[in-house]
Amino acid sequence: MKNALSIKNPGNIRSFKSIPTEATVIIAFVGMFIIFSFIAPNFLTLKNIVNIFLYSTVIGVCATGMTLVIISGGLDISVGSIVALSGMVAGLTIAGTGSVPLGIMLALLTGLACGALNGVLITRFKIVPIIATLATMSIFRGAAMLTTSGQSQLVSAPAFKWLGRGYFLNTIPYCVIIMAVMFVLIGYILKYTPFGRKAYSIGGNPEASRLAGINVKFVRFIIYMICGVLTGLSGIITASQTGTAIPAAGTGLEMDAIGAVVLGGTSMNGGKGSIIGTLFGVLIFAILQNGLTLMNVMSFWQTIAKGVVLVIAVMLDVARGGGYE
Amino acid sequence: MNNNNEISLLEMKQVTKQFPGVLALNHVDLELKRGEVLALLGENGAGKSTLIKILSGAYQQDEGEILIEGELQHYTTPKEANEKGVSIIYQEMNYLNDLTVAENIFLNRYPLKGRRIDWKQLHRKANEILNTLSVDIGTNRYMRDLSVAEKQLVEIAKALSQNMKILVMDEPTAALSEKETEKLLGLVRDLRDKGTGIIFISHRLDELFLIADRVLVMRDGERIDVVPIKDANREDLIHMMVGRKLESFYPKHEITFGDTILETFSVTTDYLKDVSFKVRAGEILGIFGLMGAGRTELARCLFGIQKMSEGKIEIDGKPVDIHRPADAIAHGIGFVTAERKKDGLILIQSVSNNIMTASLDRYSKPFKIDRKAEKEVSANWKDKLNIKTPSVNTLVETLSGGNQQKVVLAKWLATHPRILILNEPTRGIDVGAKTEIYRLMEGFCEQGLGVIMISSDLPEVLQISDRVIVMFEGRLTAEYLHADMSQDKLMKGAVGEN
Repeated sequence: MKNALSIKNPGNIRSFKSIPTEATVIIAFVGMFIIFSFIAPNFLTLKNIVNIFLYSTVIGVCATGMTLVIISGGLDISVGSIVALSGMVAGLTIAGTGSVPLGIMLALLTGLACGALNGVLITRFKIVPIIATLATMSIFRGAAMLTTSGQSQLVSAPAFKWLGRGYFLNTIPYCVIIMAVMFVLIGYILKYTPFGRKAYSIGGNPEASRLAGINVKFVRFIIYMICGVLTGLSGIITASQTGTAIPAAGTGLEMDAIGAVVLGGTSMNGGKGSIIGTLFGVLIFAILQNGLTLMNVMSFWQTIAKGVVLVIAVMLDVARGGGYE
Repeated sequence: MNNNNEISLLEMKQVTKQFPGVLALNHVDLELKRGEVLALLGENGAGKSTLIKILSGAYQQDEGEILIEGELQHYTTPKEANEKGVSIIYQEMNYLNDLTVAENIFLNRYPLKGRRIDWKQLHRKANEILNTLSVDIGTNRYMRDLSVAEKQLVEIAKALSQNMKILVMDEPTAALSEKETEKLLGLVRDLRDKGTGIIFISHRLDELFLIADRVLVMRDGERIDVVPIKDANREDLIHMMVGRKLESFYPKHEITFGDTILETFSVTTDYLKDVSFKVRAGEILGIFGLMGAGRTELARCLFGIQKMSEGKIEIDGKPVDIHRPADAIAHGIGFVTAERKKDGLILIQSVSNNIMTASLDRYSKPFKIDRKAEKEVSANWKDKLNIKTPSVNTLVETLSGGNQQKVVLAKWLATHPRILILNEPTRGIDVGAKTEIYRLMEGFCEQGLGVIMISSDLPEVLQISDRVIVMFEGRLTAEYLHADMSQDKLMKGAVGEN
């Protein structure tokens, strides 16, 4: 009798805590989806749903890399500037040489190099990630501006258009497929490879990981490079979607990407999180923006709504243990 | 009816403190007179710190009372205790590195001019106090720039500025040079002569004979005796520290030792001096010493975490270069650290993941973890070590201390080590789990592993080790075979009396 009582209470608490974070995000997503289906005009149409996915690709591709970074206990706030710089490299190369593959290749390399610089600053020079990437955020943005003295660069090559604006079988945009592939890829790395496991370990306890023989610096360095390359890909998609390489592109992207990752239940302390959570984090932001636009809500209110959703999500996470102290 | 000189400055009567699972203090009496230095002597875990923390107001006693100048005290915080004249200088001092000397002395008690801090007066007053200690430290200097000895003096100055009647010093000389120690002892004498009551904790017997008036010896949470220093001798003091009856001797298996697996030659760092020893296959080598003896530093050298300035390590008679933990693991060394939560476990991950942390690459292809092998390996160790967990997917943070420790062991065993270093392997785990871990350690030996067990738990060292080396202040002071060990001998080595 006494036993039964004493067990019952912790059991109740655990039942809330034992819901996987991913489940909460998915439930929130489904809930929001249903609500918008009723209140937002033209929300529940195939075209609009494709639009939602189309809108999420830039943030989504970048957020896959960000998930890896944050799980390993790091942070990268330079991603918005990497999008701009790699977009400019793609645009200028294609405009200059006419070669789309070369442009894409160089843009990806630019992303890789940016990520490598972040990685070196953080692992070799031991600069705190937020500061290191705050500095490179400024450096990359400046470099993007310098390429054209701040001017936009039109990219009219038709072969480049398909990437951002082409549709597979006239239904699914290619860039949505690219995003899906990246989610699967990073998801696989996180879940099935020793490298992914090491990322979780390092995020969970860097010292214990080091003592277990894991080369913490090397793993971190590679992770920032992966994030850089994926962000470079985001930059290419941005340029392709707008048909223009803009040095001011991607401003504020870091906040959207980090927000989506956190919304998806990944812990800012590292060591916990999943790619599925991030996917739904990205989609929640996307339907929020889409639904409110369809309802003619001013964009300033949309920004506020995004912040409110984030706060609620994090409060739920704190309620299940952890939090900032 | 009494004048002040006859009332004790401090009396702690029948102080008792119970922690979950441990009786930390069992009816301890302590009396301190004005103008007296009382030394507190005992092993790690004897209850000295708990007693001091109760005096300081950081802990509350379960039973017993504290009287200062005959007046019953009811303080419950360090601040209140401070106001009653109790000042404590901990080994880990509580200063603020980025503030100046003067600011540290008068922290939160700055002299004011109106609503603003009167800087001139602050520095003048700080200078006055430092002068009374006849020390010359600029009050404008930042704490971070001072030597340990100077920081201590600032702490004393801070205590002096607060109507100090009782000063407690916790191993104040541990990090000081000989000259600095002399100076500090001189200062302690001055304070004593001015009427301060001083409680002085130190492991260095030499010092106690120089400075103390009486020595209070503690062991296992009890007061063993108080003796005037002039009637004490070293042998007796050591014997009082360790003279427990060893009940329930853990039966040791007889194992024949193999060849030497690991040998060190003159390992030297900033702290370690010329440490040479060897471990044979099938042998449990105990390393005994008190806090700060350099045992952990030695283990960190073996495992490639700490760089040696001189010396070499040989495995199977061949010199090896170990620069990082991965090298050590590749050479078959495993290291169970002293603080499993800090650097042994990834608490937010599963039992299985934790067991696999050090051998991920061994059980997987470059791009694919072999989940099946992983599951088999972790389930196998779970059974072998009898880890009590609902499943290998349970998060480690939900397990008990003893089971967490077994997970750490399993992690290293999964790397198939030949040498296992265990730092305080049974700290903070219950008696049942302790015995299990001893049995496991013997099992490793039977399979030909060499085990290095660092411990400050004397009964444990005596019962488990086949051979023991004793460390004091970075050097080896003694070595005994199992048959020759005794508590007195080991403690003698641990306080540098050999």
